[in-house]
Amino acid sequence: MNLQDKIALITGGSKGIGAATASALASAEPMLPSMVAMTMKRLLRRVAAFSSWTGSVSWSWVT
Amino acid sequence: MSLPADARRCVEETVQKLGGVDVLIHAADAATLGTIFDVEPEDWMKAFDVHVHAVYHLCRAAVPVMKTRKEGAIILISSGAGMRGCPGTICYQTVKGALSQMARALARDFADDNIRVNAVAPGIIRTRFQDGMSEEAKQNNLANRIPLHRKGTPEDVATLIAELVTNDFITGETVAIDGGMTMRMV
Repeated sequence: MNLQDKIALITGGSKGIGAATASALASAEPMLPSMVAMTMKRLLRRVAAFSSWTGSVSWSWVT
Repeated sequence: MSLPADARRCVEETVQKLGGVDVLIHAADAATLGTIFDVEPEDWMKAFDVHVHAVYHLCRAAVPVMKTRKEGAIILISSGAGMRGCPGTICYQTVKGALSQMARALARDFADDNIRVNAVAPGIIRTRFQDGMSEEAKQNNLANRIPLHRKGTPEDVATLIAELVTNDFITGETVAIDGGMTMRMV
C-alpha cells in the first residue's frame, strides 16, 4: 500500500505503540491519521502535534 | 470502543472529516493480571471488550468503507503473552491469543477484497504498560528472558506495523517483535 494521502484510524493513538505508529506512518509519507483515545488531555496534545506537520487530523474520544 | 455505536461513530467521523478509512490499527490496550481465581467476571468481560469486541465492532464499521476503496490494511496488537504461557496473566493471554486468530480469520475472509489483516506480537516494550513490573522482574527480563538483553521501544513496534501496512504480500500473519523472547528454547 502506498501511504500517500491514505487515512489511518488508530485506537490508543495518544500514547505508547499507538502514538509511535501514528508518527511512523505520517512521517513515512504524507497521510492523514485519525486517532481515538480514552484520555482527552493526552489525545488533544497528540492531535495538536500532528496538526502542525500533517495538516489534517481527526480525533474521537470514547469512554 | 466496546459498543457498536462508538465504533461506528469513530469510523463515520473519520470518513466525514478525512474522506475514508484505508488503515485500521487497534492499539488500545489494558492489562488484566492474576490467575483465573483472581480475575473477577466483570474484569474478564472488560478485557474482552477492550481487545476483542472492539476489533469486532471496528471491523464491522470499517471494512465496508475499505471495500469501496478496493484496498485496506488492518493491524491488531497481539502479544508474546498470546503465543506462550506466562504465570498469572490468563485473561491477557487469552485475549491476545484471540487477536492472532482473529487476524487469520479476517485475513481469509477479506483477501478477495484486497484487505490485508496482520497482527504484531510485542514482547517487553518500554511503555507505561510495564510500570507495574518489579525491579527484580525487569532485571530478570534483561538478564535471562530476552536473548538480545534489551527492551524494545514503541518506535521499534511502529516500524514493524508500518512495514505490515505497506507490504502488499503479507496477510494473516502474527509477527513477533520481542528481542528473541518467544523464539528461545534455552
